[in-house]
Amino acid sequence: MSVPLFRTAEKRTFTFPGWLRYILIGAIFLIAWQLYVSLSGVSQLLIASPLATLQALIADFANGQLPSAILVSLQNLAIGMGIGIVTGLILASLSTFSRFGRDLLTVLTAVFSPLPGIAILPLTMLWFGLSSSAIIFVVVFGSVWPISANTDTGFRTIGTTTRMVALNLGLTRLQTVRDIFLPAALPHILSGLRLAWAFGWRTVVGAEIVFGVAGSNGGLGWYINNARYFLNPPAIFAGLVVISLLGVLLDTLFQFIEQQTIVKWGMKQAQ
Amino acid sequence: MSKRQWPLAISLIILVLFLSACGNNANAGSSSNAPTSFTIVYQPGLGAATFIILKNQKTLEKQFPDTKIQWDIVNSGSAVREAVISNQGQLGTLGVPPFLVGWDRGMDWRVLLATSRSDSWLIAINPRFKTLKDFGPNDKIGVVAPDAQQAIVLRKAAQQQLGNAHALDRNLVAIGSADGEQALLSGQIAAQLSGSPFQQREIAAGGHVVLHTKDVFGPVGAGLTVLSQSFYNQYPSFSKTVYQDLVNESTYVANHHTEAAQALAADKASGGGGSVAQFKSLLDDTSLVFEKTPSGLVAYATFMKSIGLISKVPGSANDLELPTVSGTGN
Repeated sequence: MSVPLFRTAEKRTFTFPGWLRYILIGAIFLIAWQLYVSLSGVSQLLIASPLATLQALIADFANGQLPSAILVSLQNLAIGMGIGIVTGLILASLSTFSRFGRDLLTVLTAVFSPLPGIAILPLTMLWFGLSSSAIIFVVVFGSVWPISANTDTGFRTIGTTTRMVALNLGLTRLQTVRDIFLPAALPHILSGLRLAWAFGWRTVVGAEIVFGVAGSNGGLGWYINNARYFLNPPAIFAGLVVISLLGVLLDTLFQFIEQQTIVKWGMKQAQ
Repeated sequence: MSKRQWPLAISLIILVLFLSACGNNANAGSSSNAPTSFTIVYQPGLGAATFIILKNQKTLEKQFPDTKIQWDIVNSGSAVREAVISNQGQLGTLGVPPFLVGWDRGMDWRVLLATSRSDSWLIAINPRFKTLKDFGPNDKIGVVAPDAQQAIVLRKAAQQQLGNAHALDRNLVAIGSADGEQALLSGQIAAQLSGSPFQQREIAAGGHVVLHTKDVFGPVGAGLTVLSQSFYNQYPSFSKTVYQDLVNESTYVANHHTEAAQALAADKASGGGGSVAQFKSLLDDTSLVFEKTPSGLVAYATFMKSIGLISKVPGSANDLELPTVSGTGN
């Protein structure tokens, strides 16, 4: 099927706007899901219907369980990512300015980045005990490598002209990084961040499930695990829905940041 | 995607969903007297003695040569429940509360018989933990699962001593008994509430008892061996034979501590690890009672409903019992 390069006004057929198409797909999926649960006779203990999930969502939002679980998970993610970003930027800066720094980053990234964050959880549980520090450390570990590697690439691909300007102005190294390198490498840094948070988010939820710590230290992973313990599939589904929705929201946030910075500044084409 | 592909894609999704729900049917035998396969799911600890002996003596295998008898060890009653829901296991052994949670949510399982009852201890290493009042928000207490018998007893104790059944919810950590023992000794958790032989080893390693579970609900709440009502109805004679075998083994274990201790020591995964002499002294300890009559069903259900963990209470224990123990429990 060939697609004409330019469509004339007469040929253009009516299409729904993007958001409506997405909602339509979502609605079809939800209806199919509900029909499946209602009609197939599948045990309600194995799969919850969208309506039961919605009820669980409303109930657990009202009684405060979900909001507090969301806060805990986001807090773990934010602290872990924050430390990961700072560490990643420092590593990338060292790598830019010294041969040793570059070797260090190369070796560290090669050795540690293939390790899934969850894999080091048993170790961090030994080091930090059953506290949120263990989870935060795992998030730092999961996010620091994509951030440092991407930032490093960003720093390295900065044009010679830009570098020369920094030299000409006689800036210190710190000033060079802060005022020249960081803005110039922003497209790479942001894609590193998007990668890192995606790692981090999965890691936080996974770690909370493995962890099994209840109550105040329990985030969304704990919430779905607890629902499992009390044989409450609608709550498990509700937890999954929240985890997914928060993921979409966080991704939208990063798109917004890109829109407001590198797209606006003409460093990246809008999609 | 072209318009023509849409119906195809959607029907594919629905097909996948339908297929994924067609789980396996381990015991989808014909109308014969015994299922083609039968999986027993139990938990590690002293109470597993009955099952280890039954397994070692191959009693069921001899009685039902055409049935594939399998054994699975899992770490918590919740895991037993999942095995039964997904039909990975038919006979399960678990505490009263996880059984009640399953019953409350609509599982059709009932009690075939009780297994054993023992006093579990809340054990701490640090001497500053003398009562439940000494636990701060960061002092973790290990239990095998938040719905385990120990966790429910702890909530009742919290209600009695602290005035709020949920006061210690934030302290609970779900951890298997063997891992919990390590976590307690290495200081990762402040206290552990599991059972024998773990608690005695923790005492030997310098721990002290903060709470006896027998002081909270009284001498009730023996572990349960459960089977689904539909399985029992389909294979009544098979089920009754399994019941009788378990009664026999339970009596045997109660009267032959040395043999039971040898079986426990030889099977580390089931017994939890230890020497014959250690298991012998644990079995001789009168706090462990092998009993066949379920107890505490209504008492636990009433408490669990009162704190919102389940939604209903059985009219009587009879509602939860198979004909094998019908009308005997409480």
